[in-house]
Amino acid sequence: MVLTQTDRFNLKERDAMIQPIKWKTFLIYSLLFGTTVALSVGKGGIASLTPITIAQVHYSGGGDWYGDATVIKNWLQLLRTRTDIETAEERVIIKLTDHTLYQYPMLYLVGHGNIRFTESEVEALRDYLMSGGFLFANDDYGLDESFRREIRRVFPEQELQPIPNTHLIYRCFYELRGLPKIHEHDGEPAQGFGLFHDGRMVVYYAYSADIGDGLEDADVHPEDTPQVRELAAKMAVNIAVYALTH
Amino acid sequence: MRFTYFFPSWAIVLGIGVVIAITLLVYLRIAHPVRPGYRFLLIAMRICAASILLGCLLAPVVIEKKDITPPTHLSILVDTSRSMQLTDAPADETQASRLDQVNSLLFNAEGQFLQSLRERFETHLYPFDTALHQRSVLPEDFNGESVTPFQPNGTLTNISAAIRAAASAWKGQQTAGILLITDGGHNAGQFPFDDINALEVPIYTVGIGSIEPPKDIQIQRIDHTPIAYTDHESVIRVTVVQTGYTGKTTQLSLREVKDNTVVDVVPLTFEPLQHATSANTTTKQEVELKFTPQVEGNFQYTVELPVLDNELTDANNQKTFSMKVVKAKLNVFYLEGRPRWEYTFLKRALARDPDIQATCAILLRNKSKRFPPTDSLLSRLDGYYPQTTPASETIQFPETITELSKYDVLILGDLGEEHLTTAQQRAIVDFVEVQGKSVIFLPSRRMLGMNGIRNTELAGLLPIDIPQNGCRRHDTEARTQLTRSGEFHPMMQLMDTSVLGASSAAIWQNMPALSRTFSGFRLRGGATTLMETGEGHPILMFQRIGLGKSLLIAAEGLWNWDFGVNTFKDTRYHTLYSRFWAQALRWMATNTDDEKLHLATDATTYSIGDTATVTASLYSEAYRTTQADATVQFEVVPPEGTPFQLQIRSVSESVGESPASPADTIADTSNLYTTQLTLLQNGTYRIRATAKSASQTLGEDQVDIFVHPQLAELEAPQRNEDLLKRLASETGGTYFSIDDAESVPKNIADVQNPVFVDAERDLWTHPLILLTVVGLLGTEWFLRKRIGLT
Repeated sequence: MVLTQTDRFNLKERDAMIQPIKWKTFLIYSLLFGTTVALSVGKGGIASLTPITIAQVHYSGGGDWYGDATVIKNWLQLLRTRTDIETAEERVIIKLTDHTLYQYPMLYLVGHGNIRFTESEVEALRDYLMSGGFLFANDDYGLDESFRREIRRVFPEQELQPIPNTHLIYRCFYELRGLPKIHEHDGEPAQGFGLFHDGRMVVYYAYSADIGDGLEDADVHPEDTPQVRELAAKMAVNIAVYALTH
Repeated sequence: MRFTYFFPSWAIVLGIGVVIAITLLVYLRIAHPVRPGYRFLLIAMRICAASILLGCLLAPVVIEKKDITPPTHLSILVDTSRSMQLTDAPADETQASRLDQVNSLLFNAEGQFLQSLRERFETHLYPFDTALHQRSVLPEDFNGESVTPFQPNGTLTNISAAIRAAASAWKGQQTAGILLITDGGHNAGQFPFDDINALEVPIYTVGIGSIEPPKDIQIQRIDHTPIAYTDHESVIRVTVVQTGYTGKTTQLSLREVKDNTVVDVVPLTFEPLQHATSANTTTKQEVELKFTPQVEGNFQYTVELPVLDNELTDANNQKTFSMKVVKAKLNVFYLEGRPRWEYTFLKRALARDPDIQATCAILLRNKSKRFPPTDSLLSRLDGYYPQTTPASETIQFPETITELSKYDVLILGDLGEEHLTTAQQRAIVDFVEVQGKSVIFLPSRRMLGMNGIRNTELAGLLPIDIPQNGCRRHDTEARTQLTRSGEFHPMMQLMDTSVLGASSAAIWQNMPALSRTFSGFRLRGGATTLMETGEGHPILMFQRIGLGKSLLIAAEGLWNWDFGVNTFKDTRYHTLYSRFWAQALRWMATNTDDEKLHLATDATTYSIGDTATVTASLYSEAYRTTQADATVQFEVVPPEGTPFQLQIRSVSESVGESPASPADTIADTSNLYTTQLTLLQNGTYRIRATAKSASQTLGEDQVDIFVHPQLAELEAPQRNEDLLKRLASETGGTYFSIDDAESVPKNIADVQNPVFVDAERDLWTHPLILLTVVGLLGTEWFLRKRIGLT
């Protein structure tokens, strides 16, 4: 079932609820972002192609695309240590219209706010996904409405499909019962959605689960228990392994 | 009259005077009484006789006007091509064929047509089709029945060649022109009006045949791939042309010739052309036939249409072609040592290829790192990544050679020493060395490192020796380039060009760079490098191992040839990754000796009289083109008769060598051996090629080509009135329809110009002179006797 933003919460209530937590996070993000961008820009050389890395999408629309600053680094480390996948150390930040987009077959998209793809970005993302790319979109709370709207512009002929808990993405490395719930978002259950092209899942959208927050450095969300973080880690490993094996 | 011996007039007068004087002297001295009248008569007669004799001594001649006008020639050219055997109204059984109508015109019992022409002209009768044939000799007492009528045997029509030959035969002589009797079906290229006009010979044309295109259906063209795969649907595209059957429904069928089995039938309705104004409009449409061959081998298939009512001919309702059926899907097992993009994109490429049945698996084994994790699903699957749900159905790498033998090619990804058991390693070695199959190594950092396969049985299959510390790894951008061997290797061809290697080398240089390469290894003796980095590090190399082959791609980042090329505007690059892998796997799976010689023809079906171009591409052991001592021998097995051979040597030696007939070797460049073969029989020609070097056979291959009766005569069988009218008009002749042909003789312009010359005739030899002289002297003698003179 698809819920609208209005159905789920009142905007003021949402601001009141998330601001105490997110201001601190925002400061950390800003610092990390500046450092990361400085490290990442111009780093998309061909030499980084073999050790696998995941590129974080810098989208338009005003949303905090730069969030989850430590997620990809931790995610890559998980892959390295648990699956023997040869990975890079750091994330890469990329715009959908960058000429280096096709050096990264896997993208990570996250945020709380608005996404608004330009027409060029819509076309670029569609071509990218149809040509073999994979996008993992993580609803970090507040992303759902704009993401659904924008992904419909990318694939107007189809809707995001609910992914059943028996799907291989939940058991391609670790056996999970479905998309794990990491952070509480309005009491909604965690739901995985997918978009397919030629039978291949090209978009995996984790709604109301917030896998990203579970992958952040432990001090970013100290309230998360090790068990919850482990679930996020396992799901992250599964997502990457699935993308790499299908 | 004049005298040949000219004397001065005084001498003539003197001579006559002497004659008169002597005569007078003789007769005046006669004492016997003679009446004066007699005496005068006798004197006159003697003087006349003597004068005549004297005149004869001067050799008098008479000047006459003599007529030496030469005969005027008329060449009659009769089209005896096969289109002349057509009957333009098949439903009318009383109507004669085109040529029968011509025979009737020329050779009817009365023979009026030819007789009236022969009265005026020196008439020559020639049959023609592709060329002018020998003149038909007409007897002087020609009466029609004594002449054998013409037969329609010609497979093509070349009107211009016939006209040129006829004009040349009587060049310099007076000609009234050429009478051309034909349907105008010139099918030897563009008609050269300018050349014909330059002959300056009037051409009278008699057109025969229906002006409207006759009702007919024909299979004009068949497009198909030369190779089909078992259990894999093949599509045959057939171009059907129809005239006069718009809206009619029939069926097109495909039949396997040997077993006479119909393998596909499709209904076919002849669609009308938009804005068509005539029911006899000719339309063309393409129809697809599909079939799935089950057995390997060389087969012939016939595409056929049933004969429709009142159809002009059924000769063009079917066409036969040859097709090679080979084993369809290659069975490939791809075992990878860890998830990576190389695996992702290669697995997808294999899945996209309908001719490949790929089984892909990833195996995680590393005891020192405690892989796989105990809490992962992999630990329950012996390290294999789950590929299916339920995970228990995940396919694992075969344990025995028996299980392994169902595959044609193995791809081994970044495996280490722990991944495969010793039994599995031995099975792989047997798979290659004993069973003659192939293995492709696709390493990353582990396989060629210290703890890779260096110390396993698999190391013996590599075309390189891994150093003790492992190969050096270069994680830097590396452009690729083909080696000389690679430029001509079938695995590396990325463009369809007539000259192998010409464009592929450039394309490989444009491909996205690789992201990891290796160095520090040593190539084994039998290894051949097909691709290298710009710095000369070998990237792609193969070697024969036992009965099989192994291929090593010592690089990573090939996936960028599939994904990264999407930034290229030239979309031809988008499919090259799949093409490379399809070619690599196909080549690896094919028996190597057969692959060293590739035989190809410029078409799969031909018509009688066509020339087939057969090309053999020869590769050396290392797939280099230099094979100086190589010979390629072609053997042609015609449908009937004994096989014949043609042997040539490589390029430098082939110059000046005279080819054997009927095959004609015309060129031999580098590794290409090209032969042309004139096809003179209906049926299947089998062409075999054998490449030899000294006493060693380098390779063999064979192709079948099917030769149809020549059907060009039936492609536009209606009377080409435009051509005949224009031909007559531009050359000063006249166009006639066969119905008006009786009026031809009187309408051929008389171009005779009488020629007279002065001719001398000796007068003294004329009998009248002798008679006159004898008469005068005899009379004189008689009168003398009568009057008593002695």
